[in-house]
Amino acid sequence: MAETTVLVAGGGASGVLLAARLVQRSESVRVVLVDPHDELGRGMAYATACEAHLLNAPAARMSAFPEEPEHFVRWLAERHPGRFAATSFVPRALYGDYLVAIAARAHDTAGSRLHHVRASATNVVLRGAGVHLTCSSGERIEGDAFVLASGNAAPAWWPGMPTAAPGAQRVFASAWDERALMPQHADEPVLLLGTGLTAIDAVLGLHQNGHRGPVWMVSRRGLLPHEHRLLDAPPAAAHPDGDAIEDLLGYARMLARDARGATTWRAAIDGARPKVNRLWRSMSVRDQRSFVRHALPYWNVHRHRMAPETAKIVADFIATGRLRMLAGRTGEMTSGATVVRVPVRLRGSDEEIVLDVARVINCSGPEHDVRKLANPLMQGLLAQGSLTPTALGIGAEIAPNGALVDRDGVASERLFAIGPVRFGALIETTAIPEIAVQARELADALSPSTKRSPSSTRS
Amino acid sequence: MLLSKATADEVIDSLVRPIARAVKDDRVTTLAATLARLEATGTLANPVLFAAPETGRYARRTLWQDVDGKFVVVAITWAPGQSSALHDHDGLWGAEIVVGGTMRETAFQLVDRDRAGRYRFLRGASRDARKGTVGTLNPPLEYHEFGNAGPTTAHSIHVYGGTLDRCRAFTADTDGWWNANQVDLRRHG
Repeated sequence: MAETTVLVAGGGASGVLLAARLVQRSESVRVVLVDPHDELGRGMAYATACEAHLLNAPAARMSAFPEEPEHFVRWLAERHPGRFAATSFVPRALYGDYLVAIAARAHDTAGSRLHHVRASATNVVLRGAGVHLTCSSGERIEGDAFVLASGNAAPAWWPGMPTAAPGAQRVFASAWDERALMPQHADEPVLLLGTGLTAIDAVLGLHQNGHRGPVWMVSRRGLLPHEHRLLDAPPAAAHPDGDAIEDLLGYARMLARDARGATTWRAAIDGARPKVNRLWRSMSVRDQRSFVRHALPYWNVHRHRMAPETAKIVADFIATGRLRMLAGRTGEMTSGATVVRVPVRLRGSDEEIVLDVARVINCSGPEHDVRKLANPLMQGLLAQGSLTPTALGIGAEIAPNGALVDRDGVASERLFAIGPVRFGALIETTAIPEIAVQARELADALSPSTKRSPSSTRS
Repeated sequence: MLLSKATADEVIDSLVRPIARAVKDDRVTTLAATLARLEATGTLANPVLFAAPETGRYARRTLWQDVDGKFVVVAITWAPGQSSALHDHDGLWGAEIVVGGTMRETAFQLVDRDRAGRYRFLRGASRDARKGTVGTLNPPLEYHEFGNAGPTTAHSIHVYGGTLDRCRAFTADTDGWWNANQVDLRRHG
């Protein structure tokens, strides 16, 4: 039987779930996973060692295999008996262990059919009937198909953030930088740029590392994520009939007015999840732009909620005054020898306050404009015209089957993407349930026994 | 004390409006911050809000029941040594703040249920909660023991995001499992 070689750039959750599927799907598939880490599976999201960094969904919704919904819960019960229930929000580090175990099992099944190259993918080109990949190690690999599985991009630049200043580093471009959450003094004031889940992670990480000083959080709207609430007997998931995402928000608001609305809007927004991508794809660019501008921040705080344990800690920090929230725009920051000075124009007023803090940490979400990414692999694909920014300017054009769409609007038969890289083309594509389904469908499409033209593959 | 000259109704009026606003935001973080602020300004520690301590059982008084059933405010007076059994909050979210005395809270995490309808919990760490300490309830984190651990009468204010007519109290079995008993709270004021 003819062998198919699939090259995968990125060995985090997306890359590993795809690789595990591919090697299981058919004995005639070879997978080369290109990732600089020694261990496959953790990626950026599950690499944290902080016990307080929890999953943002209960264990029951975190199976890596959609056809085995209990898979993660069973793994937890075997590895950590009596510690967790299906409703528990477990440490992300444990989920990292789970993905590492999946990668290890895939390796055992596949033997030499799964190969890990410890390097970064730096360039990919179409060559003949296949693809040709160059790695940071200088290694060159040939394959039949290439899958971009690079996960979330680095954080977007925050306006007014100064570039490197002399002396001790005080401004950190990413909360994922290990040093960012290591305060020099336990009582130093810290400013977090952003009020989303990354900023909450930073609050917990600073505390874990011994920080006890004041923490400010700022964003334009000052919106904190909502909180998960799980009942013994959850309300039936509601499926709104609306045909636009604005309608979903309206529907959720309507449900929130019920006596038990505090839990039912959650069921509505989660119940709508399977149809959100279809709605998004059906919207005009104008409507998408309007949604991104006016509704996305609200959508995000309702959809991407924090664990109840996390809410408990954050509530305590806010109640005791250690954590303070600001809604406003930051001005030009100046980094001096001992402090960073940050002007903040408060939302809905002309008042400007000035914060002097010892440390500023950028906690904004991933950069969604692919043209601004420093990643050479993405830049190469853009330059070749194999990767095309969406008309909206968020993410890249990607066909429903995951194929990259080139600058002429043609879906590739050899270049694909999985996971957070599809954001923009899709709106639900960063969480495990969606990535697990994408992995299954992409593995089916790339396996020789079912190989069909990608355009006929179901999305 | 000057404050106590205000009637209970006047005091309740002054705290219900900010609490209603916080409940509408539907986040325990917001509710906790609001209760902390009301406590810091002395609004919650007013003796007119609280029942006199009772022997045997803590004294519970409902201060406000929202007409739409969106929230309820309860004041509890705890004599020394009085404590609640391990209990849930009927799936409601909310926040509780100590306004006087020393309370102790032990949180429990539900980890299992057997066919006989019994429950198994992981006991969390106990913590002392003094004046100004806020605790939050966010299902599935709604199971705890709460009681007066100090030598004097303690007072606490509780806000729940719904109508709390009933809850379940749990009694320990001999084998580490717990039995649930329904409690009708409408009979306790």
